[in-house]
Amino acid sequence: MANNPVNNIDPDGRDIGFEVGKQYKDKDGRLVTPVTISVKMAVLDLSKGGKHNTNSVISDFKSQLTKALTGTYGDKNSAIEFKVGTLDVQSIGSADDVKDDQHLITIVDDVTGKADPDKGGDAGGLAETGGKIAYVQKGEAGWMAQSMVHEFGHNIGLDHSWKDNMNSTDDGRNYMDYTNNRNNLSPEQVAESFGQYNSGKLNQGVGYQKAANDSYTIGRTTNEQPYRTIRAGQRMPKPLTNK
Amino acid sequence: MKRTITFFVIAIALAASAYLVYTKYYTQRVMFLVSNDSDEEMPPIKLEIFVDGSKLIQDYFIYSNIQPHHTSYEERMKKGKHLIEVKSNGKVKIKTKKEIELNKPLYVFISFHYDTLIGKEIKAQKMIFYMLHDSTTTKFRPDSLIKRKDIVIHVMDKEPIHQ
Repeated sequence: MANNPVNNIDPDGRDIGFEVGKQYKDKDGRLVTPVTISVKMAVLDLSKGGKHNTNSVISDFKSQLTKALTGTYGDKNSAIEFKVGTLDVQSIGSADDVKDDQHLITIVDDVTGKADPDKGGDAGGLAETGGKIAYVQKGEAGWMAQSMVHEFGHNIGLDHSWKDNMNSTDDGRNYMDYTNNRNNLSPEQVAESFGQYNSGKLNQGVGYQKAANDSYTIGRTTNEQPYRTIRAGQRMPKPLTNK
Repeated sequence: MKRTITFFVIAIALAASAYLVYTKYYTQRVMFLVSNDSDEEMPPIKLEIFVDGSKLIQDYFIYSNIQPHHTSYEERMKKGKHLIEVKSNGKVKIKTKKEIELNKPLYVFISFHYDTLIGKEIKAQKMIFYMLHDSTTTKFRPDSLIKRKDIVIHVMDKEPIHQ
């Protein structure tokens, strides 16, 4: 089997891709299949008055995401070795700059929805499972970077860690938890995402939509407070609501 | 007459005070956050939530691909230990339970899943088999695997920032 040619899965040029490399046997005789993950993403910061530096947050996010997606999933006989190849994250000034092959994370002043202080906690992020759009609320820079990994985790098909039993530890360090000291995704979670990619469940839809008329406004929240009037045909981050 | 009114006012005040004291010192806030986190669209799932054998919540929960999504229920319960039980007796029959100790405000997440078995349950060999073969012929194709159904009860003691 080790000598068989391995069919590459073309990452199809979309925002999130998994490319399968040539199998090899490691020093323990284990058959290893390398899989390289590629991500194309745009970050649009619509927040006002935040104390964060967007470029610094993006840099931190890239570093954390690379570490989170790197790991080996398998057993003593065979394994899949995940590593990050291209991690292209661009800061953009307008939703018009979002490319069709980019995932979009939008930073806003306030993420609204069912989650609010009167109903069991505030909301700090919102994401479409398997989709290409996520929102993160402005805040402390380190928390923002962690939350961007968290929301991206939903976009690659992951649930909250307490729901999926796939986090290798239960110490609140998993990115899909709600804590403020998160630093890992488990190999099982990355494999889960890989499985969902193979099943065609990722890269669904687009991260933006075009305004229907001139008076349409996009929000500094998740499309609930007017922020900027845009003209018909211009792009805006795809609105999400969990109401 | 005046004496009677005074008596009733005092009685009501005492009752209100007793209630406030009882509420403050003998009960605690519990927030139930219930969601249907299945990995694909499905009809609303009916869940019944019992506390110490008494039904507290009964509702239908719709699937959503937006995270987070949950329905919130604020309750106050006596301090101490309680048994939370969650049941579904519709087309999907499932139940689970968890004991909680209520000494400070708790956030009880109840999540229903109806998911495709991929991830932890699928071995690396199966994944590689899937990658090496035509997806229309391999019996290990994730979509062809059986489904799992699950209810998870997760308790947090700090106010969550939902993401």
